[in-house]
Amino acid sequence: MIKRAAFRGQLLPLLLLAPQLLILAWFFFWPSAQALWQSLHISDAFGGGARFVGADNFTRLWAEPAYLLAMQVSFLFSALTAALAMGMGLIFAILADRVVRGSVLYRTLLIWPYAVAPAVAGALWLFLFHPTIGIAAWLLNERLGLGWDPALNTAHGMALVVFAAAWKQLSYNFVFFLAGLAAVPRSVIEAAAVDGAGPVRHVVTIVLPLLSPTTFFLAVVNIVYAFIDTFGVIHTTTGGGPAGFTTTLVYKVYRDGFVGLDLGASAAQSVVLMLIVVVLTVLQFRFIERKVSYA
Amino acid sequence: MRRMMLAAAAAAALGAMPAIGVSPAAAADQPVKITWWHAMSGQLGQSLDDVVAKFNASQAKYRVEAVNKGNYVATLNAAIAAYRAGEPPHLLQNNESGVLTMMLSGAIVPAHDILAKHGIKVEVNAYLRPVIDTYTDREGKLLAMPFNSSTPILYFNKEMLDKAGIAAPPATWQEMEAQIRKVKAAVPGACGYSFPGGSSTAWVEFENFSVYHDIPYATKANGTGGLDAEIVYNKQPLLVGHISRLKRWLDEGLATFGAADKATWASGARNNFLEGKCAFWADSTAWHGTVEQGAKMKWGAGPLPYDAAKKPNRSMIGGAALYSFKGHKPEEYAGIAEFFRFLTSADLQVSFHKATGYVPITVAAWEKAKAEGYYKEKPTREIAVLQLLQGAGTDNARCMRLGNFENVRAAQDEELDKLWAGKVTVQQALDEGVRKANEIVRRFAEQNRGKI
Repeated sequence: MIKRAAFRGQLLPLLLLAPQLLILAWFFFWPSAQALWQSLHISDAFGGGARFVGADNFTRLWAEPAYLLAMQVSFLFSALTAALAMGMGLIFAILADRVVRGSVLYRTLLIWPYAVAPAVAGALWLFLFHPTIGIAAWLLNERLGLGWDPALNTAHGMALVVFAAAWKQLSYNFVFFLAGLAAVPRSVIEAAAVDGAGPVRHVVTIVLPLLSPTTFFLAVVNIVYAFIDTFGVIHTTTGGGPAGFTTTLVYKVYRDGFVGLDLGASAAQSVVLMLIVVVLTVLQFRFIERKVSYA
Repeated sequence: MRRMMLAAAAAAALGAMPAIGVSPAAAADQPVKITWWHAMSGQLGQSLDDVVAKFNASQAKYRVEAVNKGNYVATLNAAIAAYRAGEPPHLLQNNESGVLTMMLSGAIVPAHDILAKHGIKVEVNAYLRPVIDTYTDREGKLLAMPFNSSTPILYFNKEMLDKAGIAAPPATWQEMEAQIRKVKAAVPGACGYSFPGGSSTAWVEFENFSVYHDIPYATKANGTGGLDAEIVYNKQPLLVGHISRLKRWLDEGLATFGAADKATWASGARNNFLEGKCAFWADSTAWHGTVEQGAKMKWGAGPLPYDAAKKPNRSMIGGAALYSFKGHKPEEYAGIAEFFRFLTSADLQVSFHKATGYVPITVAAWEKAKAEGYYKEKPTREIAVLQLLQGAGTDNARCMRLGNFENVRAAQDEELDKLWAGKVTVQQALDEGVRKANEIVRRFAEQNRGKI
């Protein structure tokens, strides 16, 4: 029997929920409603002279080459970041799972990056890969002769932001994968060992399918993170350059709204971004969840 | 029992709160507070703080509190957010690219009105015309009190020029090219033109170049004549030729970026010059203080070079002015008027000019500095003033007054990235930059339809 908390009457539960609901309403629903309202109007920089223009702000987006570029950049960036963050998180989790001595130390150190704010993570990576003063940049240029130049080379710029964003999310994935690995039944592992499964076979055939609920959950979270939470990383490293090739949709919302002072277009972009993330999540639930085997 | 004690304690705490609340101060003898949000940090920020301290010390009725809110974009955004929340600051420092936005915002009280209400008349000819014209609307009303204005000049490495046997800095860009070649031959490993790239390029190589050579950056007197102005600099052969020259210099090694990283292009270019690595650096006269203190070699300065194909007119300013917001109390506006009066006093202008390198705003201040012999002691300080006053105030000499101009500069910057990376030709980069820029200008006109 599942234990449930039981309340007599409605008042106490409502009162207990009230602070959270208030915060939700104040910081999420009200700003979202305002963004929706603003996306249907055109106004000047100070918010005055607002005129209703219907869907005009939205239709103008599709005619703007910069917006289509931002769309492509976003999808590419998110795919790369999610793949890298989840892939490395899984590898570290598998390795950390096998460690016996000092395992607490390894796990703690691998979890720390999650506590770093995105903007700080971006600044850290900028220092490392700064073409003039960065150690990693020095290695790339002097030892490997790469010509590292995230200021003018679009591939280098994208690589920098992908690594910085993935590094931050890696620890989050690591925690969940580690927990998922711990939930793999010992009997299955022993049976596989008895049957002579090598390490690769072990991971691919036994562990990954049993991890699929965790993987699915993390895929959803990582995609949402890459689309929305990575503003700080991009702002502190490449600033959307070079030539707009690291300007993701969320960064363009900032650029158009706060540098360009075009509140209507910026609000329309944020509405579209929200819809994209919602659709992606729904698609994931509809099509990928079928392949997830819950124990 | 425990529940009753907890309830009693809570009641006692709640009851005690009014007593520790805000005590009504004797407001009568407190100075009227005036908040000023500005965008100056570092050495310039300190000079600004000195100005504020002088004002506060000179009288007891008003007290200005200056707060640095980041760069110009961040400061403007903070002010917009504050205004929409109904709590705008008293004064906002905003730069010359925001004049049209502020003018049409409906959120400011023109400086002219505040001063007139307190019996202070604005004598336009008492000011340096390029400075005051930037912040005046079409009816000739002063919108904001100019605070810091500068113009680009040419700094040069005297030691390098001496080694190459060059007596005087170049007057034209063509001469500069010849001089760079001589310097590179005489000083192995020297860099020629220290190129900041980024937003400094827009102000020096596009906007000032256009104004200096009396060619249009945009129609309708660079936008002053109406919201339907169109940016046309990509159609000016002289400007296209200049950008082609810069690109060629970069390719041939006659010019170098300040750093390999775009975020530090500008400071890198400055540092390279200060460390004596480069022969030439064209940037704001407001860097005088930094150059005087930080240059590791003998340096000199001269007027901005011009293209030999055309005689120069005058250059244009960059900098900022103080706007005042609506919705404040009458005594606070009186304080603002007093502060404006203080800012235009010749003594303050001269001391600010000496401390920072920004040009004096009033003719009287310039005359005072001359009378004191300041320019005999430091002749390079006068270059900017003379450069701003030479020639005539033609239509093309007007400072750009285009909507969302920071966005225009950003669009142009993005296209220039492609040019520096060698992906497009000069004309393609300029054409695409102008196409995007005109869209931004038209969008601004739409946002402000019916206002002028």
